[in-house]
Amino acid sequence: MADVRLAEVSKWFGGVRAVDALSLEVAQGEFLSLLGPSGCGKTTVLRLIAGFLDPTAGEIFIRGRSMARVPPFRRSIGMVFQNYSLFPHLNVYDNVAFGLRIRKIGHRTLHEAVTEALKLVRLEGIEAVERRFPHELSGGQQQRVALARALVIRPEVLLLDEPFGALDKKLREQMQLELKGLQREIGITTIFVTHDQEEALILSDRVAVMRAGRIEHLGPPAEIYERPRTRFAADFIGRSNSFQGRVVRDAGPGALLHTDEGLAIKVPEELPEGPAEVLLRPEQIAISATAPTSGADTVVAGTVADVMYLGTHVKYDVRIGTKLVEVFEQNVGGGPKGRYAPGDRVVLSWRSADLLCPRE
Amino acid sequence: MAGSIAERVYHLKRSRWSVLAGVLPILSVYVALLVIPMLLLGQFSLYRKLTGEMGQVVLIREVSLANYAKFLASPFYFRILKDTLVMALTVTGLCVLLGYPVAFSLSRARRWKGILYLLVLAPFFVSVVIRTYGWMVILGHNGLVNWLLLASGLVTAPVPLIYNYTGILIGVTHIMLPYMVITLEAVLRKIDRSLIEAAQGLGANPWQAFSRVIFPLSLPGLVAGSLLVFALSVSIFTTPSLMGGGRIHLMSTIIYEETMGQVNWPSGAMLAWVLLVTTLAVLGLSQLAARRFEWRR
Repeated sequence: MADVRLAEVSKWFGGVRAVDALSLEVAQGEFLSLLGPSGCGKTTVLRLIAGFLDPTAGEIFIRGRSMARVPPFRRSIGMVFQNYSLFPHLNVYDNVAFGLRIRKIGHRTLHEAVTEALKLVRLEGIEAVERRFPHELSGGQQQRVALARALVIRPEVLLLDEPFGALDKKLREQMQLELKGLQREIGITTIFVTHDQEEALILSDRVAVMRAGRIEHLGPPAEIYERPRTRFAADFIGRSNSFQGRVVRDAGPGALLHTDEGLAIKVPEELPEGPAEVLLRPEQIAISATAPTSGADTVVAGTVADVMYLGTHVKYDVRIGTKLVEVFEQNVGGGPKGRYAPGDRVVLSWRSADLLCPRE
Repeated sequence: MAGSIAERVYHLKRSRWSVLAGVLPILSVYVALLVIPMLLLGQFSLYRKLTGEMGQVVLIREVSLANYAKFLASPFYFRILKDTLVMALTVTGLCVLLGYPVAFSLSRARRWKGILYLLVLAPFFVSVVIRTYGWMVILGHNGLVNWLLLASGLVTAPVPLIYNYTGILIGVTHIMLPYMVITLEAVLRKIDRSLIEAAQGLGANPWQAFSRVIFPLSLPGLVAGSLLVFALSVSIFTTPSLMGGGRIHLMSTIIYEETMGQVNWPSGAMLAWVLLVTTLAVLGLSQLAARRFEWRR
């Protein structure tokens, strides 16, 4: 059963459709990410669910209950804001206890709940942490307090608005892992807003790629990455090479795409004849000096135009005719690094099954 | 060797002398026009005035505490000091009550903010004297308010609203209100709106969000505005002297009366110092009290 359901929800700001007839179901205990560029409406969706905004049209349900005309303070939500929004005049303990005090929870129960929440977010070990004020905490610690404050009231839904945006990379990765573990542990339905594709892929059970107030593709991370439904989703997540041209069926098996640059590449058979675009992830392309790697059914020759060393992999820009193709080569141990230099003749090969053919 | 001028200026800026250099102009004005005159007044307050046989004023340049002894022995002076403090405190309280909602709405306003701000500041564009005469027209025996009260049948005889304590309270509160609103608004505006949402998300209704988050966070502004209004009200002269009609005595009017009317400079100087010390004591005490509300950023 869906824990959170949006039915044809729209939100207009003046003439701008921030959210456009969006429908979405989030299952009990699911971790769902709203992923998209800034201005795609993902934060608006979150604020609609929280009740800080009223939908222009459509209806929102939490646990089957319509949220129409239910103010935010009567919804059972836990929200973590981008800038944490900790109360600066309250210390850690009072920040976490805020929601419980509003609910007039008795002193003893309150103390136990606050202590447990601080433990849950791994803040209990720090010296006198309860007495510290938000400005005395590091970004990561503030993040944990914000999370504890949201979780201590045992909300039905946890809403997170780019919670890790302000943290440095290392800390962000650590917090991501902890959040994921925590979410699994307590099994809370979670809706997570981010513009960071990697973060969305790591954390989510399902990802909703959003553009212009609509969901472009909703699915598990692997599906989003490997079989993106739309050109936009394919482009937004990961990197890809685009081949545009016309699909032609010859006498033999399969279909060929005659690209605008004059290449003819093999494409999956289900592609209809006519103008088309296919995409290819840079890491799906093998680069070699002469013989093509086995398993590949497409082989093209080119010249290395640029080499970029990126640690975990090497990025080559390879020129095929007038087309520049981006290739990632994994930095596997042993071999010499950066084998090819600009100007080297190389052979690129890939499997046509790995081509992405988004429908729109 | 010494670097460029820019470098030297940079190093100068970093030194503590730069702080002094920054405040020096205003400091010299303060010393010349405030500190030295106040010290001279202090000196005067230790002298005595005698009236000669021909009515001429003679200043006895003998140091004594006679003036202060006169103050301490006089219930009349004490009452005036008390009335002054009560007036200033009442005005401060009225400004808090009337100013907070205005400052709050102003801090939330978007489209009309500029115009609303202008309206709050509008009283400053008119001289205090003119404004006070305006109040006299409105509050007088045959004024607008009494006409309305009589016409509506709420009262049978005009209510005295002017040339008394009430009139002074109304006039002074009107003058002080912008100071409170501006000070409060500056603090309220800085309170992050997402804090209200955070509170609401945690189950706080609008009133709870206000009383538990906005209000505590606005306390520094409330304290600053109150201190400002109190300090200004305690020594305000024009409005009480006009609105009081010479019947209500406050420290400022009595200082004027002693100095200009009685030509008793030593006595006027003594009263000025009594007022100064009392005001500083009240401000100091409230600062101590305010520290309990303080949180560090």
